[in-house]
Order: sequence, then structure tokens, then C-alpha cells
Amino acid sequence: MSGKGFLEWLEALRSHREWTRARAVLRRSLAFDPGGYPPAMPYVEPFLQKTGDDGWRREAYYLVAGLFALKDGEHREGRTLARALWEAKQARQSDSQEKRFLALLDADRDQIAHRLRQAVGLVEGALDFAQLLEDLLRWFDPRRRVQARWAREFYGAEEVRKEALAEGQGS
Amino acid sequence: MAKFNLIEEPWIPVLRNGRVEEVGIREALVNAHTITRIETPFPLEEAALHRLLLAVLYRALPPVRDKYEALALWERGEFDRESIEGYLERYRDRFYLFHEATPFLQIPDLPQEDLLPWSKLLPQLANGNNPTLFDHTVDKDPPLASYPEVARALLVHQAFAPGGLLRRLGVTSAKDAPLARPAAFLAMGTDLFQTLVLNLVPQEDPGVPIWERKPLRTQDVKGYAIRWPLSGVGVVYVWPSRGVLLVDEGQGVRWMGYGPGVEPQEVAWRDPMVAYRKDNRGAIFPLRLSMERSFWRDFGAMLPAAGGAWPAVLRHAGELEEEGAAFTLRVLGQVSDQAKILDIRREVYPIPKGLVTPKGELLLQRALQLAEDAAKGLRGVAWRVAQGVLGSRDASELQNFANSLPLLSLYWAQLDLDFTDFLSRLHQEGILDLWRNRILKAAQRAWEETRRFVGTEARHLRALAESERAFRGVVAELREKEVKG
Repeated sequence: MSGKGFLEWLEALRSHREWTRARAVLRRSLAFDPGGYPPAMPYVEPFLQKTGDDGWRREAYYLVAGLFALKDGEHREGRTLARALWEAKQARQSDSQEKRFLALLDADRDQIAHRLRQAVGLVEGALDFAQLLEDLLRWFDPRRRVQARWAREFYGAEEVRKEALAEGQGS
Repeated sequence: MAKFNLIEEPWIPVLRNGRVEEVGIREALVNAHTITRIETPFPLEEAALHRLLLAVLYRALPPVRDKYEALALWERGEFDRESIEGYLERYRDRFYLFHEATPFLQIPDLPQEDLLPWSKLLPQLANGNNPTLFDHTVDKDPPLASYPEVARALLVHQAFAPGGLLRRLGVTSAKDAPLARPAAFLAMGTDLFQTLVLNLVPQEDPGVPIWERKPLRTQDVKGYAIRWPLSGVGVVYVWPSRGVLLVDEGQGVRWMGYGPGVEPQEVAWRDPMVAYRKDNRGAIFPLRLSMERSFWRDFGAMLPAAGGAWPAVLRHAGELEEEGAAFTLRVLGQVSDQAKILDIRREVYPIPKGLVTPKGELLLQRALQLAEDAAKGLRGVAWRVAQGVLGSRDASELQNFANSLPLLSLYWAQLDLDFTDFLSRLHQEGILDLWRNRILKAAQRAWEETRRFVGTEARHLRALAESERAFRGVVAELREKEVKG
């Protein structure tokens, strides 16, 4: 699974002394088109050479690397972004969270990086970055299964979580 | 001039030795054991032809009074040639399609003005305000019908004509023919002989069929002058619902005289081929076919536990089955809206051993209940989806949207396929659990399709995600249901 592999790669990066600089560069990269900020390339390209990804897939790796840096590498398996957003909504009791979430679901390729950065900035605590990468890689599937699952995680809360994860791995 | 005798002339389409041929009444009965079945693409014709043959048998054979006599007949393997030939010979004159005094199932002195095209006899032909189902015949220039064709059409019409506006011979509105609304049940054996015995339900008094009665005249039906009680298989199976007089053109029929028939007097008599159910107020109604649903979903209504009654043919066939006979069930009939025919149906079901027993009934009832309960849950889910997508609108708008979802139609379509299999395995251990799994699968598949159908914009996904909980509730409830048979 590319998500796990990439997460290991990022975790390894984080355990090095160089992480402080890498974190700053990757965070900065979020202001550019994914994969379009040369200083970030040394941290991501070596991994991509192994997988040989290009196009949207390449951008997704850069995006996740940037978001990982934004959260300073706080990873927790199973805590998806949709779920974290739901928790944020519960905590703050505001409708604007939901509006942002719906906008995120409808995001196209031009908007996705910006909206994701906003969303990740909103939530507290760690996220499942491996799952996030998996989801982004399939984001533009015409069947939009990922978005449907996110919606279920957001609106269906607790009980759908387990099944949703199982389904995500299957499709 | 007497012409085209239905006893001898070929007009009943049958399957024999793998080929379709036409035979007369005598051949169909005397050699019924050599004939596989009546073979016609038209379900109503199938029902009407069987009823005619049965009506003849009820009078020609020594009466079959109970299951043991039926069994003895079954074991004989064929009908008694002498009884049948003797009987038919006696009433030979009454079976001519064209006859000056006694044309079969017609009225000889019907006025010859204002003729109608013969195609009015058949609901499957387009005419009047019938929707065009199978055909594009127009009223002005009716095609020439062959004698066999028009004979069959006449029989179908007398059995199935829906009541409605008539305005002829002092009658403004005609009454329903006996099978205009109810669905007709036919038990089918492996050959025509078996089929007829399976449906030859013991009758105390079969009544006097039309060919043994005084020929009808126009004055009898004018203003519905005479009424006959709607009772007795011999009478009702070949009932003169309308006054008809076919006009012979030498090689066929194009036109006919038309008017009211004998007015049926409703009496407490139950047609052996019809299933009855009780409504909320305790009134008894025949079971009908419906446009939206396959007939099996209504099987529950005729179960005795629900206050209904199996059609007598099914009970009778079930008794023979205990002794080793095997049969399938055909449900034949039309779907009508007042005088308009919307659809014509033939549904075929296997009848497993022991269906017509308390245990079989209980299993069937539970199974149908499970399917209906799940459907009710799904309706709730569809409603939630509608609310989610449309927000707060008025109820009818939401309902329309909910109805437009494929959820329920797909669910039932899948169960339509599964039900036959379920029924044929009714006696198996754990069949209800198997059926429940089928229901779950049907529901899940329908829900998947519905999700795809609704759309993938964020607001759709939100509505679906919210409805998903309701759907899971339905599934969970179904899983937990106690289904011990």
C-alpha cells in the first residue's frame, strides 16, 4: 500500500536531525502548486523514483508531505481527516465547519490543495496520513467512493468507521 | 347453415411431441394424455381454453366427488373416451361457431346494424381506449380473422371482458365478466390430462353449462332481461358476458354484432380458480394482479392465517400431490383500470411439496412478512434520502423524489428472481435464514445502486451518508429478526 510506504518514508525523515529544515520547506511548499516548489523536491522525489508516479499521483505525495509537515508529523492510524473534522464540528458547534467540509468534498484539482490545507489547519491532534494519501490517490475516481466514505464518516460518525476502513482497502 | 364445429375442427393450440398443432375439443379431451399442454402466447387464452375443457369434463365424466375419486381418475392416466364422445355427440349442434339457431356462445338474432370489428374481442389488440400493448390494429379496417382465431377470441372475451360503458339494447353499462378482475390460478401437470385432473376440483353441483340451456335470444339480454346466479363451474367457466354474433365472410370474420350478455347475479359462490382475501372490514375479495407488483407478494393475503383462502384448485392439487402428483402453478390474468386493460400477465411458480399445509403456509407467511418488513424499512430510507437532498419541501414533493429512487424497485426486482427458488426449496432446513440472506443481499445491492443514482456532489453525499444510518438500522433489524419456521 503506497500510503504506508510513504508514511514510513516521512517518519524516517522526521527522525533525522534534518527534519527541522525539512519541515519548514515542506510547509512552505503548500503555498505553491503541489510538486512545484523546488526546495521540497529532495524530500519527496527520491521516494517517487521508486514508485514512478507522475501527474496527479505525484502531486498527491507532495500534498501529503506538506500536510504532514504542517502537523509536525503527528500521525495516528485510524483517525481520518473526515472524522477529525466531525470532532471539530462537535467541539465548536458551528455550521461553518460543515460548509467547509462540503466544499472540500466538491473540490476539483485546482481547489483541493488549498481546501485541504485549510481543513487540516482546522483540526486538532494527529491524523492518519497514510489513509489520507490513499484517499487522495483515488480522489478523482469518477465513482467518487472516497468522497462518499468521507461523507459517511462525517455524518454517520461512530458506527460506520470500521466498515468504511475495510471498504477503503478493498476498492 | 352450420359451420366450423368446435368439437372437431382444429382451433385449440396444443403442444404434442414437441410440436404445436391445433385440435378440436374432442381430440383435446380424448387424447389429453398425449398432449403436453395448451400452448398459446396469450395468458388469457390459456385460462379460457382450460375453463372450457373443464366445463365439458364436469358434465361428461361421472362426478369426481373427493380426493380418492380424483386419485382414481389420475391413476387411470386418461379420460374415458366413451363418456366424452357420447356427451359431445349429444350437444354437437351447440358447438358450431356459425349456426342459424344456436351459434356457440353467441346470440343468433342479434341486430346486424352498428357492427363492431372482431378485434374488440381481444384485450391484447388495440381498440377503443385500450393502451396499445402488443399491436397497432385500427378500428376502421379490421383484419380478417380465421375461424380458430376468432373462436378463441370469443372465448377470451366472454371470460375476461371488463365492465363499462356499452349503450346497446337498453343497457348502458355492462357488467364484469367472471375473470375481468381476479387472477386465475391454474395447476399444471406434466401433460394436459394431468393438468385437467389437477384443476377438476370436486363440485357438489357443477351447474348447467350454456350449451345445455335454452339458446339465448336478443330479448333475453335486452335491458338485462334475464339474470343467472353466478354460480357453478359449468356455468361460470363459460359465461355469456356479452351478446356476440360473428359475421361469417366465407373465409373468416371481420365484423360482429354486439350487445349485453346475461346479467350476473352475485351469489356466495367461489370460483375454484380464484384466490380470496379478507379486507379490513371483513369483506371477501378476489385477489387481483397489480401493475406494480409481482403476484407472489400477495400470496400472503390468501393464506388462511390472514383470513384469506387458497384457490380451490391449489388445495385440490395439493391433496393429489400428497399422493405423488407434482405440479407447477400458473397465475393468469389482466391488470385493469375500470374498463381499460393495462397489462396481461402470466406468472409461473413452482409448487413445492407441502406448501398447502399448515407448516408450508406458516413458512410462506413468515417469508413474505420478512420481505415486506424490509421493504417498509427501505421506504423510510428513501424518504430520508429525499429529505437530505431536497431539504424541507412539502410532503408530496419529497414523496415523488423518494419514489423516483431505484431503491424499492431494484429490491423487489431482485426478490422476484429469488422467490421462485425460495419457493421450490421451501421444505429445506433453514430455508428462512437463506431467504433472509437473499433479502439482505437484495437490499444491499439496491442501496448501492441508489447511492450511484443519487449523485456525488457534496450535498448528495451528505444526504446519502445521513440515510446510511437509517439503512444500517434496517439491515440490523432484519438480521436480528427471529425467523424460526
